Amino acid sequence: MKGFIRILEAIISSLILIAVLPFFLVQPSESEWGNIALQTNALDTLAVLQKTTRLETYVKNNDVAALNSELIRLLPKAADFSVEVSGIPNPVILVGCVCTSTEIDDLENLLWPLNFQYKERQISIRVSNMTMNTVDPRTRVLFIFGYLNLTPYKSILTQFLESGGTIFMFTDLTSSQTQDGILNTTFGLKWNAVISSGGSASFFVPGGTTKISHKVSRYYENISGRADTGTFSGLGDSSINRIEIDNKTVIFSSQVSLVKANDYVSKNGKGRAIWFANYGYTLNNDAAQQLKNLTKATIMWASGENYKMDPFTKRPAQRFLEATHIGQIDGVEPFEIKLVVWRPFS
Amino acid sequence: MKKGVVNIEFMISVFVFLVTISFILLTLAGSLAPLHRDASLNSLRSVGYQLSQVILFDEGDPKNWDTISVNRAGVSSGEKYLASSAKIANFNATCAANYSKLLDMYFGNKRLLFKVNITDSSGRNMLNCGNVNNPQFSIRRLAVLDTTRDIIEIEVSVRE
Repeated sequence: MKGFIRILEAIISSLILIAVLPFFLVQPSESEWGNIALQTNALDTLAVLQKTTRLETYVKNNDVAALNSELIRLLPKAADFSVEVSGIPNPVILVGCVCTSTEIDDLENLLWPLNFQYKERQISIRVSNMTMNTVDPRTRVLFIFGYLNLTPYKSILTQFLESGGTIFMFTDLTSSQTQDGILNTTFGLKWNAVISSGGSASFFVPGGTTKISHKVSRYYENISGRADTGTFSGLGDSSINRIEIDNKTVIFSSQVSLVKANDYVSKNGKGRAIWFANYGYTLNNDAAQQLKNLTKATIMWASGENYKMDPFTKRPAQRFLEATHIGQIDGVEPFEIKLVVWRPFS
Repeated sequence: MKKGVVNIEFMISVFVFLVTISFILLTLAGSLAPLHRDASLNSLRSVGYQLSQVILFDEGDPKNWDTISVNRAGVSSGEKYLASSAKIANFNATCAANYSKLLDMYFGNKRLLFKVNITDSSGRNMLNCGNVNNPQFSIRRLAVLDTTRDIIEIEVSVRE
């Protein structure tokens, strides 16, 4: 019996040793050199296209076909790619208006001309009618005329914002409206009954380059030809609209915000929201025209400043690599271009 | 039990244990060779990548090097991603005259071979240096030619 136990001990110790063996055997992992070569190639591609100034030209002209044929030539044949541009207004801004047909005409007149040049780029605004239940996924700006309680549409809005869309609400606001659970969270509006409004409105610290107001003021300055230090009159009803000023204020008057934006509003860091106080947009005087230019500049920011330059919708593989490059249009308009590359058959 | 006499059970257990130990040692010894091979290949790939960086981004030594004065050959014009057509011609001449000098310059005592091909956007061969059959690592780089602003392809291959 004693001998039998000794054999059993030897077998158990052998099994333990064999069991720990895989711990000492390092399995050779898949080589990353293929990915290094592909990413290096992607970085080289963006760098040489920038060096020959073709990259800026393709972005400036939104020449998707030429950029794609160039990338097909320069990148490995076995790789697929997608190009994303950010930091400049989208070349085509699809605005979905939750409004009546008269309001659609008003919005188009307000944003006229819908096709215009900005820093040598052709920008086109396309307005279409839609309801909160039929939001086209390609829409970048959901324009809402007048106050609308958005709480019943929370799931639709979440989906829309996560896809990079912007909600644009064009209305004067009362205290109860700002407490609806969307305006005080997604839009980041805070009512303060004590503060007062009055006098003309202007950009909130246009010099601060990190602020949204700076970006909007730059767009305004370039489409209107007016200085961003100018003032606006006729914006918002001074008896209501007691929205506090903070870093996301775009336009303010005395102690209140009259245009306020919010960015990175969804959980995935995408989506934007803008509240714009109402004004007499049917008027044709200079003050109204400057407010229309301001609305247009805000719509340009609301485009998300992010778009794809692909000939058709592409979905990267699970494993993909990125190369980014900072370019400039006209020497002053910086943009980021991201080249995403992957191997479809790996 | 008498002295010098061992139980059969003890013998069996020692045998089982020794067989296990031998199996483990042989398995470990067998895995060393592939690990060493992978390490050598990774080292070679790293050298190949560095060589592509030197050729693409280094102006060389001296900066206006030629076939005679060259201490280190690189085709950069001094600006990133801008290749000098004169240096490409010099590289070609140096390679034709003394390939082993280039080998010594880049790899020192390591017994490695390299090949560099430079072609322009129309596929015309501008540089063909070295002859490496079945390269163990190849990398393709891109640059812009200083004279024509044409995009050129630089392919660097290495093997032991």
